[in-house]
Formats: sequence, C-alpha cells, structure tokens
Amino acid sequence: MLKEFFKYQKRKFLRYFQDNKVARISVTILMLALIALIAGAVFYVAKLGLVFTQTEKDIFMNQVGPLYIYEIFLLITGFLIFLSSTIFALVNFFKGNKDSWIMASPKYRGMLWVNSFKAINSSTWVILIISIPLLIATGQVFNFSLLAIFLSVLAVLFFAVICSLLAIMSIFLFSIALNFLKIKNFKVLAFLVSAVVISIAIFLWQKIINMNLEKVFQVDNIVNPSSSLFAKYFSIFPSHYPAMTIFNFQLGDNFSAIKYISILLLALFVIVLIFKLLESKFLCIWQNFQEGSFEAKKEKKKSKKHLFEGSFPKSAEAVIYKKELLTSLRSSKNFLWFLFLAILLFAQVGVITLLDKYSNIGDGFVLGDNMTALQLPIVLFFITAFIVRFVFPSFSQESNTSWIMGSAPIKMSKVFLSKYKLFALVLVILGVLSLLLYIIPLGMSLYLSIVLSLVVIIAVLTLTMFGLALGAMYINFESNDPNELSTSAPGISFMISALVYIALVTYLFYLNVSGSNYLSLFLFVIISIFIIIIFKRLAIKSLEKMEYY
Amino acid sequence: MLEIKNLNKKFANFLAVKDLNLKVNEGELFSLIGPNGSGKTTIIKNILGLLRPSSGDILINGESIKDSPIKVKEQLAYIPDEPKIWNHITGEEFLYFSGALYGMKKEDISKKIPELLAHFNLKGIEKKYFENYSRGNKQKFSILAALLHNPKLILVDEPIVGLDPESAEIAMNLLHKFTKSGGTVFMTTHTLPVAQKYSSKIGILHQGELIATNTLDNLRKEIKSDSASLSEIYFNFTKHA
Repeated sequence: MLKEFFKYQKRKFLRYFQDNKVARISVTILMLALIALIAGAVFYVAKLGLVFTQTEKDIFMNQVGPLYIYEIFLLITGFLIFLSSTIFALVNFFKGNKDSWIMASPKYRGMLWVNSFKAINSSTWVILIISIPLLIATGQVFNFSLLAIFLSVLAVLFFAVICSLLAIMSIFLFSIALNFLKIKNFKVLAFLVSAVVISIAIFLWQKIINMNLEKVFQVDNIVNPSSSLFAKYFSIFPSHYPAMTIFNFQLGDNFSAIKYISILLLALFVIVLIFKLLESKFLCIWQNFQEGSFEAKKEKKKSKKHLFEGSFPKSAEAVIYKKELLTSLRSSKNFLWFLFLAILLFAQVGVITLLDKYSNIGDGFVLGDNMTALQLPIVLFFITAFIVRFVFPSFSQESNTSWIMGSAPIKMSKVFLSKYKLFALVLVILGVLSLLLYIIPLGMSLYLSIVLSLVVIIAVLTLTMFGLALGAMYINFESNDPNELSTSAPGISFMISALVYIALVTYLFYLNVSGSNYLSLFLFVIISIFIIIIFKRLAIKSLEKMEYY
Repeated sequence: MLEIKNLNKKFANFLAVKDLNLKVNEGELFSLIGPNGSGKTTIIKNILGLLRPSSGDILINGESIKDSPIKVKEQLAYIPDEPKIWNHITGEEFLYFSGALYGMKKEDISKKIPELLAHFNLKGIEKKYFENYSRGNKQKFSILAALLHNPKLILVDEPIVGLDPESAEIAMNLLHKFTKSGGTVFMTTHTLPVAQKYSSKIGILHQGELIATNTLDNLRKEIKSDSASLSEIYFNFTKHA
C-alpha cells in the first residue's frame, strides 16, 4: 500500500507541473522563497544566540548556552510536530467520505500507515523552518564534520517521527477507550485530545516560564558550575535526546552522541511495534465513527435551538453574517485549526515573557525598549496566519455551495462585507487580547499601550481586508483545501505582501516609539486606509462579475 | 414569464449554447431534455445569473437578468442537481436562511415550515445537520427551500435524482401543483417518463442548439407518430440532428 502511495504521490507531483507550467513553477519558487525567508530568519536568530554564548571565555557558558538553545528550539519543534500531527490525524484518520472504498477493500490496514505517513509529512515544515536552520547554524559555529551534521539531522528526524507517532497513538488509544465504553461521538474524541494538547502546552509553558534561570545557570556557583544540573532540568522532555546528540557532537564526544541517537532509534522501534499491535483495532474504530455520518448523536428529547431563533436578522447582510458565524463555529476542523494557531500565539507569549526575564540577568542580551516594537510584528504575523487559514480561502471554499448566494437576490458586496465584518471582529478581538498578554506582564505605559493597540487594530483591519479581497478576486473553485488555496500564487502573494506591510508598519511604529514621530503614525494610517478602500472596491467589482461554473 | 432571446454562451473557444430563443408562459411546466453536455445546466445557470450570457438576453416578466439581476432573482427559485449545502447547518436553519435571503418575515417562515416539512414527512429530522442527511433528504430540503418564498419561476436541474420513487412522485406533484396555482417551472431532466407525464411543453437540446420545442402531442405530430413515447421522440430528433 505504501509503495502504491509513493507512486501516486510521484505521479501527482509530475501531473501538477503538466498544465500552466510557468504559473505553477512560479508558485513553487515563491513557496520555496517564503520557506527560505522564514528559515533564514530562524537561522539568523539561532546563529546570533550561539555566537553570543561563545563571546566570553567562560567554559560553562560556552557549553550550557548552546545546549539551552538546542533544548528550546527542539522543544518547540517537538511540540509543533505533535500539534500538527494531532490535528491532521483527528481530521483525516476516521473521516470516511474519501477513504471508504479503500476501507472496504482487503487492504484497509494500509490506510493506517498511509495516513500516518501523511501526518508525519504534514509536519515537515517544522523541521524545514526550525530544526534544519538550527543545525546549519550549529554546524557553522562549531565546525561540525559532515558526518556529525548527517547524524544530527538523523537524530532530529527520529525525534520528529516519534513526536508524530506519539500524537497519532494518543488519538488511537483514546479511540480504543471510547470504543470500549461504546462512545461513538467524534466530538468526545476531539475534546479529549484537545484537552491533552492544551495540558501539554500549559505544562511546557509553566516549565519554561517558571524556570529559575539564576539557579539553572548557577549564578551563585560561578567558580565550579556543573552542566549536568542544567541538562537534568530538560531530561524529562523527549527533545532532550536529539539536543544531547548535537551537544555531544559540539563537545567532540562522538560516542555519547551516537548513544543518544541509539536511544532515539530504540524508542522509535518500540513505538512502531506498539503501533503494529494496535493495527488490528483500526477498522473497528473507523467503523464506529462512521455511524451517524462521523458524528453519531443520541436523540435529544429537548429540541435544539436553531440558527435564527431569538433575534431574527433584519437585512440580507445580517442573515449572511449570522450564517457565517455559526457555520464557522460549528466546524470541528476550523476549531482545531483555530486552537492550533491560538496555541502558537500562546507559546509566543511564553517566549516573549522569557526574553523579558532574560533582560534582567545579563547586559548583553537586553532587548529593552526594542521589545515593544518586536511585539507588533509578532502579533501581526500570527494574525496573518489566521487570515491565510480562514479568511483568504473563505470565498473559494464556498465552491459547492456558491449557488445559494449566487442565485439569491442579494448583491455580492453584501456577502463580501458580511464576511469582512465577521473576520475583522474576530481577528481584532484576538489581536487585542494577545496584545494584552504582552502589555500586562511587561507593565507598559498607558500611552504606549493605547498607541500599540490602535496600530494593531488598524493593521488587523487592513490585513483582513487585503486577505479577503485577494481571496475574492482570485476565487478557485477547483479546491476546497485551505492549505492548497493558501499556497496558490495569490495566496503566496498575499503572504509576501502581508510580510512587507508588517515590516513597514513595524518600522513606522518604531520611528514613533523611538522619537515620538507622529508623522510616521499618520503615514501608517493613510497607507492602511488606502489599502482598505482600494481592495474593497476591487474585490466587490470582481465578485459582481463572477461566474459560477 | 420567461423569454430567452438569441442566447449564446461561450467557454473559451467552445460554444455551449447556440443562438437559443425560447418562451415559457405562466403556468407552464417546461422540460428541457438532451444528452450529457448538451448545455442544459448552462442555460439554467444563465437564467439564474450564475453565468453571464456571451450575447443575447434573458427576460423574466419583462425584466432583464443583465440589467436588473436583483429584481429578476427575487422572482426565481433554484433546485440544483447536486444539493450541496453547508454541512454544519440544519435543514430547518437552511429554510429560515433561504426565507430571510428572499426578504421573508420570521413569522411567515415559521408558519410555512411545518406545512412544507409535512410534504416529505421530514418532521423530526429538521434539526439535524446537513452532513447527517442522505442525498435524497438534502434534495428534499432544497425543493422545500425553493417553494418557501413563493417564487414566480422555479428552475430545476434534475428534480428527482436521489429521491426514492414515492418522494419523486411527491416532488413532481408539488411542482405540478405549483404550476396550477400560476407558477412556472423550467426543468432539465434525463428522466424522460417524468418529463412526458408532467410537462406542458418540452424542448430538445442537442449540442447547445434547441432542435425542437412543442407540446408532447405536437412533437408526436412532427415525427408523424401519434403514440410515440418521449423517449422515441427524443431519439428521433437527436439522431437526425
């Protein structure tokens, strides 16, 4: 089955470039450029950190500093892979509509392995943008041999597969338990898995935030500090093993490095073995979740309230708004993605708080006032991620249901504005909330808090309009998959343009923060209003001319 | 009621509808039959304003879909061949949503829903999400949504696909009753016995061209066979086209 799957993937890849060759090659190049851009930024930060640890002739800092960087980078890598695989597995493993013909065949067990491979594959981006840049930076700073780099990459890959399989296995084990308890509701499974992911996120966050850096870095014991105390602190995380592999290569202790790779390999072997043992349960669990079309429910005596109960929408715009709101809220797939991005944002808060803590222990690593200007692009970057996932594909995802709006006596401008109002409201709330999570722990001044909040609100309104408008102007009814839609040429163009806009906003905001330059803020407002007006007009014009094939 | 004037629809270099002229009067149930890819759905989508005519015009009660799309759409209802509706919305919510889109008041919708549900015996499942409905039940809800706001013209693309025989009969009777009360139905279908039984006028489409349009009796006269079934008429016309 896996052999056939790889053959199919190869054919699919080649077929992709058969039509619209130039456009598709351009899209691929743009996509690679975007990955390279982000990976480049991670490489820069990692190298900066590693070089910083080597500036002083302090053997302890020279050793523990890099180890701390490996541990943190790989911990984030592991968590993101776990999260990404969890969402992929939850959404795809038991969904019957596409796989039912294979599940009806004698080769049904193969679906477990094919889907597992897809889940692992869906996490490759984390390795590409975090782990590989880290390893290249490490290799450069510590002059790793080719073999050491190769073995370090191998350790990270083993670790990535372990994280992915652990995520799938946790879903699998919960499913077996639910099956035993005769619970066939997929939402219960989604709830349990979400609870596990959130618990892990809170645990990691607490562990990082509450880390006593003075104790771990042994400020009181400068004369004879021990790196093993530091390593011990991280030994409870699975990411410790690939981190120790790299660390030992850094120290030149190849034997210990290989020992850690062997532990990873052994762990992987044990997990695959357990997986193999659970394989026979797959069909039974799959069948259970198919009942009631993937969402078997008990009949409720009390009838549930319907969408239009209570205040009835007075205008067509309000009707669409209400429909958009509830169909988005009710989609478990959307919910999981929302949760995924929200957790990333949450993790970012942990990192920023950590940086703030750092600023108190050394002179060289102080971000100080620049921290304020750093928060803005971080919030806007995450808002852009939400826009890429939810807002940009919004019109294209209506492909099968577009006839409902298209045949109704309503102007497409109303549909557009209803969607805009909903997305803008949700994203502004999210932006301001995430901002509060920065403002409060940092004790920012009232004036700066207000200016920062206003800048975020205007920028979010602009980015949302830009994303929705581009999505409306380049509707693609050929795909329903938001990932595919977001990585199309218009999707990538949006991402790149949004990054340019964020950089510009950050610069203009920085000018204001560093020198009370009000002209820069005025320029920012003018540019944003201009983008909103122009793209609103272009999108509505395009929607009114649209044909529904 | 419906007047199609010199309609042409071109997709790139392919002419899907060729110089179509057609009139459907009030109270008629017009069936358009033709092989796959002959342009039936394209014509319906042009009438609905889902596609734009390359040339020609479509008038509903004298209003052009090109010039006054909103006014025209207010008079129409559409039952598509694939009843795709948002997964996370219930049948009842869809009916409220459809009514509200056509400017109906909540009280009027609430009053009409039980009446409509009773036609297909859907009471009890109206609060389930669309993703839990069978294809047939989805189709039933899309038929009810079309009838909800009292349109003047209902455009139906394959009315009974996915319906069980009893429901198919109910659906066609509903459409027939609708025409008796002054409404008009424009329907495309491959189910020729259904078209033969219910249509007041039939059009035969072949490669985007309307090759015949008349009542069943007159079509029989055209092929000089008084007892010919619609199926025989269809083959006769398409073979010689």
